[in-house]
Amino acid sequence: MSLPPIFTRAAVPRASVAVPDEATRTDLDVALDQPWVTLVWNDPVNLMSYVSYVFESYFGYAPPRANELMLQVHHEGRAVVSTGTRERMEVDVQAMHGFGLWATMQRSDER
Amino acid sequence: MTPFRTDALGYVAELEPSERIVLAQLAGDVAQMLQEQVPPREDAPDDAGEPGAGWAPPGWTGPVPGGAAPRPADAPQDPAVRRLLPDASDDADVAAEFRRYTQGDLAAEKVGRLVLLGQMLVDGEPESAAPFVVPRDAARRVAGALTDVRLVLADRLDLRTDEQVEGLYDELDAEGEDGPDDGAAARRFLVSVFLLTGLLQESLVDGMLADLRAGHGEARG
Repeated sequence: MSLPPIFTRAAVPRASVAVPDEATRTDLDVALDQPWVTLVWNDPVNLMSYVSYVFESYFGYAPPRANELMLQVHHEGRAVVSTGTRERMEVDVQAMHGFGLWATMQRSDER
Repeated sequence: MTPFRTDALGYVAELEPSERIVLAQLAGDVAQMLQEQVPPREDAPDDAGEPGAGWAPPGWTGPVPGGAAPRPADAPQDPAVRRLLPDASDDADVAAEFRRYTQGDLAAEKVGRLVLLGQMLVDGEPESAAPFVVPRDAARRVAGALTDVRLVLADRLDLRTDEQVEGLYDELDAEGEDGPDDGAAARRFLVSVFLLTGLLQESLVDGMLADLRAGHGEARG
């Protein structure tokens, strides 16, 4: 069985990537060991129902979990809404900014 | 203004012609602010013509191996625009890289839906109070545009805390001395528009959330 073209083509540009130097490899290892998180911060403008809507529709959280996270943002000022690789968190933060929520990303061990 | 209710067409509010004009003007102003602070990205680097270099899957907007990286993007100077495109990290390097790869797309997305909202509001130029229909497949973009308008208004009104926002109805109810003080009158106008957009946003999102939970909201993605 042969792979569809999109999978075999993806290997072409990858071959042109320069071999990372020592410093880059170290950074990568750290990033893999310690995942990143996306934080959503409280703001006085966004309505509680809108924040719940975003958490349910974008992340797919069930209403009770979305409500819990929304209240955590509202009362504690922020909440971790997703965890994963840095690249994945970039996607989530971009989506949150698209919705108009104030979100940041950081390594999961930063506080 | 009558808040949104849900029906077969989507979400339907009722707006006076004056409310439509004010909201459309505001949406246009915010779109213009974004365009002025975030110039369109030049996606034509000089060395992109080489065959095989810079291939990326369709729809991919991230870094392209072998292709030129987008130029660094400056953070917007206007604090209201900066709230729409906030720093993505305390780490300046992480925030700068995020801006570099996402700011142009995010700004374009926001401008597009603000323009859409403005067009929907003045479509047909109704001369009396008339239904304002938001189809389900446009609801998320309209809610996003209303959010951006409210964020900019809140910045201009210097609203920083929940308490300040909760106090706005009292502020509006207090006898204003709209005489020689143009500043107070202008603030009362912006406060009333902020509260109007809040009622629209809240009723729209209530409908969207109910539809989502019932399994017939706008598709995820």
